Amino acid sequence: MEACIAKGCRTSGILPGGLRVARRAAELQRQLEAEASTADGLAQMDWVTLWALAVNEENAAGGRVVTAPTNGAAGIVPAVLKYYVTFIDGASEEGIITFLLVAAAVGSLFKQNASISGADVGCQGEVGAACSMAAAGLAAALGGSPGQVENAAEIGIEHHLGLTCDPVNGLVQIPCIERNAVAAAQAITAARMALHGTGTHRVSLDQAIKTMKDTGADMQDKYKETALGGLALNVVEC
Amino acid sequence: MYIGVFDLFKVGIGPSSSHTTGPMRAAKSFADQLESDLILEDVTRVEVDLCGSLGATGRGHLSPEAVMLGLLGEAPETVIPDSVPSTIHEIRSTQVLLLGGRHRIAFREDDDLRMKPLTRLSFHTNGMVFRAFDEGDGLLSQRTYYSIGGGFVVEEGVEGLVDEASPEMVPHPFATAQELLQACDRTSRTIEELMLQNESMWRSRDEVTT
Ligand code: SF4
Repeated sequence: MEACIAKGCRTSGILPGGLRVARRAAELQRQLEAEASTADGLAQMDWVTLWALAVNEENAAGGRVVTAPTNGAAGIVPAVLKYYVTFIDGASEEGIITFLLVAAAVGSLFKQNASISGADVGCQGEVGAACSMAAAGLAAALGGSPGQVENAAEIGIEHHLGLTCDPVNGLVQIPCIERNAVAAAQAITAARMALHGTGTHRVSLDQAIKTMKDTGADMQDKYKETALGGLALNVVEC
Repeated sequence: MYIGVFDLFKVGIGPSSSHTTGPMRAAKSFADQLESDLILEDVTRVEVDLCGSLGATGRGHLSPEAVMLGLLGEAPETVIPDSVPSTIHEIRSTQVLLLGGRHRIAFREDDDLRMKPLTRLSFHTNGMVFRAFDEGDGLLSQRTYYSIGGGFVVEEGVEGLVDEASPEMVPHPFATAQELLQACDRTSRTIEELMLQNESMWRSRDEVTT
């Protein structure tokens, strides 16, 4: 994951496939390094954005990534993990392991009880599930109780319910690359929100996963990785 | 079915786990089967149908390239991404493919790799049908696979995931978040401790944590 972020941060140019989508990570890294001294309270978020973009640009270019849980959503878990490693005082090797074990536990719940395929349930199953996994991983690494961790995972998916998969030209670029950056930020918000609570909450993770499955079943095929609806229809190639 | 850490965080190649990693794994499994059925050398032609969503958006997701690599016997975990363009270019320009990495067959992508966006197989939209023919154009083998997301692949009529060891027995099985939380309560352990014990059933602790 680390190697993929590093490669993605170094490489600029245009992504293959004909949409002429420019790779942004390298330029963003230059900007962030230049701004390093400013006292912007949200500067950390920009770095998380950078890491997520880097992974997904690598993916769009056919590079090597780690599915987490899928390729299209592969930027979220590494970006949030790197946030933990980079910005959390007292981050440790043990914490990283905890993060990944818990993220995988949550991922397996999605896989067993619903789906992690955009062609099955839309993007809620890819980016939504990844956000939920990352939120749970971070909450656990920061010392959350099982209840708080489950809450973080639940917040992470709940606000992706209904999300369609409508990649322009069938390429994993628009909306996918940016969407990973936004979902990484949401995962951090979800984890922090859950850690400020007691772990007791109204909607359970199981209910949210079931809702995702049901919503996916109701979703028309044109919103399931077929590039026949949504953005894929309205953003025409010029 | 227990799904562990390494099943979810798999190394794959971009851009799509269901449209790239999955088809590659299916194609490799097909080639491996031909080898283990001892019919690899009788094959003169292979035909592949990519159905449903794979047929619709496969081109943009490099599915055809992934299938060719898989037929060559390449696995998503070990293929060297930088060598992919030249390998593919060679197949396209010579119209020859080394099935399973060793047996030469003719492969004309336009005829042998067919995109069928409107064919929706019953089990899952990402269906793939592989057929192998002998010299007299007799059907040697036909297998249907589904890429069910995240690079996971199942074969029609076969239990379990293709290419994935998934032992059923773990100390703390859970199917829902509620069961997981109850297991935490019962054992006074955290989620990561339970997961680590589950993983350790078939991997040493060091292997899990590296
Ligand atoms: S829009 Fe579709 S292809 Fe893109 S990340 Fe979401 S599920 Fe994957």
